[in-house]
Amino acid sequence: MKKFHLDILFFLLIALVFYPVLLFVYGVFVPEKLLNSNLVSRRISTGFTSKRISEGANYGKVDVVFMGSSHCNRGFDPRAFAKNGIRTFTLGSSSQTPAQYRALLNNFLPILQPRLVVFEMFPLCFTMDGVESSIDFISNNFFPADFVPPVLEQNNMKVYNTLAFFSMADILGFDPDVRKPDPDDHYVSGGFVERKVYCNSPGTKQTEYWRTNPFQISAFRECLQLVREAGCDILLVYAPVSPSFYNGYLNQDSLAAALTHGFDYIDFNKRMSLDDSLYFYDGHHLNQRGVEQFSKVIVPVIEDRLRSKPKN
Amino acid sequence: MLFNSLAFLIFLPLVYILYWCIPAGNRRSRNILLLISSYFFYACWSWHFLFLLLFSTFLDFWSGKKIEASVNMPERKFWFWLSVGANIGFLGIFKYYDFFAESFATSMQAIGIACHPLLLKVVLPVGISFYTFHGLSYVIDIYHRRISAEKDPVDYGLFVSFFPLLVAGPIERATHLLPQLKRSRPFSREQSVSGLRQILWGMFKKVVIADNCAELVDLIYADFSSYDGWVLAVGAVLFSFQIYGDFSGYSDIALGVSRLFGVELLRNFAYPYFSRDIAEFWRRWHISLTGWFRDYLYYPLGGNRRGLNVTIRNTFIVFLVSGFWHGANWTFILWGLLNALLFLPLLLSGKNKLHHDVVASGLRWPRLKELFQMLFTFAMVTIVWIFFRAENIQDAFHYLIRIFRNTFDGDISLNGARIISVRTCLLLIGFMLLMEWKGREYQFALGNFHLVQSRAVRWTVYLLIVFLTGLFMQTKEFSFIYFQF
Repeated sequence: MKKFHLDILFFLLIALVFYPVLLFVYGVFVPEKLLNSNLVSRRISTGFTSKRISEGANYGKVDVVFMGSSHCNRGFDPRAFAKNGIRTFTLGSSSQTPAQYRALLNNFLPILQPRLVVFEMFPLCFTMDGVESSIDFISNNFFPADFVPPVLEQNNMKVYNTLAFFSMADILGFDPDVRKPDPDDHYVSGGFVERKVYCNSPGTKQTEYWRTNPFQISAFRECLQLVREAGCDILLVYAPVSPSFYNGYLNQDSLAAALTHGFDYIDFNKRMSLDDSLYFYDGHHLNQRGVEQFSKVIVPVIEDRLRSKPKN
Repeated sequence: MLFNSLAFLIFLPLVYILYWCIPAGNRRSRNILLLISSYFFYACWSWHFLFLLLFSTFLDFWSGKKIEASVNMPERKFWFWLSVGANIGFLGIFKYYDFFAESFATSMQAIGIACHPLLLKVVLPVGISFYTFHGLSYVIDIYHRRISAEKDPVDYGLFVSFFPLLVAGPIERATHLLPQLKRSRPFSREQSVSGLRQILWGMFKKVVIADNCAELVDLIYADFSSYDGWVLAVGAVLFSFQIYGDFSGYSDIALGVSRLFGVELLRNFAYPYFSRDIAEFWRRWHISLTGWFRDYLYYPLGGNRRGLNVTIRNTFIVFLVSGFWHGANWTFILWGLLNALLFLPLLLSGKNKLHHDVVASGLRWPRLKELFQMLFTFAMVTIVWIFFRAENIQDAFHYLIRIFRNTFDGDISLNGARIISVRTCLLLIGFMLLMEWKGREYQFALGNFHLVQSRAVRWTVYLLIVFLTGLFMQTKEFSFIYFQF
């Protein structure tokens, strides 16, 4: 019996050593598009996460930090704010969820020292498990200790495998290939991604309800607390999505009431109505023309907010 | 608590450690531990229905004793029919009542009479079809004096509720399992290693093969009228492997887990897709259920001893009841009927008992004739599975017709990532079939690994399976198909 149990332990130990090695070999030699595996073996650059992280680390003090998903890094144009003397930085990234906010805030709040933190409240971020975002950060070599709890919560093999692969690559000094970004996307200093695509065919959307993930809700609550403790002002906003998308969800208002926790909240979909085919490049991402329209409305709001809360 | 869940990964080692901490001589304490663990396991699914399980267990245990103690035939019959009636009654209420009520209302509507029967709309208690059949076989065997009534409620409770088999079988027999539970079970290294091997292989079949197929199958069946015929054909083939990977994977895990506690369960699958005709397929698919129907339905009806007509009638009854056992839906009944129809030519030509041996035994590869027979049988089975998978009979026929008629004019087709998913599934299925072909003369695919002398070779293969599982397992959690039955 003892030998049997020792054999199990020995096998587990061997598996623990060889599993990442096999993953690494697979990731290096088997093209990603050949088979549908639980491994991302190329760096994801589609949302410019790597550039954003390295720029953010040396960006210095700002007035406003934007947190959120791709709606955030494709919605708040730092150039529009700069014209009004407001220095901003966007920490938003593709499919980012509140589960990732804590790590980003802990790392970047001391560097950026914003007066105001704006959370973009696209409801999808509160429904997802955050796997896509975890993989995005891992593949861009950003994995601080604060990322461990969400990764364990996600408990997803793709995340574990990708983490093992990039850790092995790091140890062996191997630089994985990069998934090229969309040629229409351009990174703009301040964390923004510009897309000058002006054609979108609006589709019909069946009505449904947002169903939130309780883990994201509690993670979000913790982040609000963290920002408040850091002495920053907080504003929650829902950036414009196409009207057909917005109206496709029947519980927008009740969801907002449940998420905002008494903080100031502005739903810009109620303040402006942007044409589906002119101002979006898909159902819910603004194109550059849409961003310009949105900037005309959001910049004065932020300006007023900063004015009402003077610098310490 | 799914076998492939984190909860089970904690539950199993915990029970295992506690079990082997109890001295070998203390068999009863070990059984009590397993019984409590089994009830906890079931309560994790639904603590409400635990009471139903307890009641069913108590009723059969008590009836068994009463049947045995009866002094005359009427009394014996009374207790027997009370138990059988109660068991079938529970099954009927929870599983079939709504179906019959709705079917009745529909048929009344067809002749112009509006009818709104009261529907229960209750959730089907998990495992009810399995533990009911355990209890039924027990009381039937006592009634026919094949076994004596069990005296120890713990041993009987464990026979019905042993957690590896509780929710989806194999359907055990008192004659097979109870004697094992009454013996002290010393630790056997060979048995435990074999158990772990079977768990590993079962897990691969479930989380890699079945769950990856499931994602594509769900996608295709959900919108089948929009797809090209070839996509529907791929969907049908993938479902054949989904249901095989799912159920045989579950059975492998169940058998492997119970082996860790020194208990051997009945074999449930014997490489059914390597069958050369439908009769052989049914000797190799869900063996414990087929055996149950053979012993408690087919033989009592007269089996094949009362002429060809009665044999045909009995065969049809068994297949129809087997279909109905799977679920309260006309699709399952039609599935049973189609299987009976496929079986009929073999019965009429007296060729239904041709293939009792392992295909291409002792050979590396099958002969061309055997290969053709296996492919033909697989094709037949795959077509019939469409009726099992479809939401209703109309959908099943439309699906089938579209495969052959509507080959290249579907509105949408699989492309990009989906094609990669299909390619991945087919490659993994190829690997599974290769491993199963190599091990087809043994209990399960890795069952012959004790013959491999080199530990390095054995462990390399285990590691490869672990690696493939980690790399290709479906990250979405799919429940086992047979839990719904």
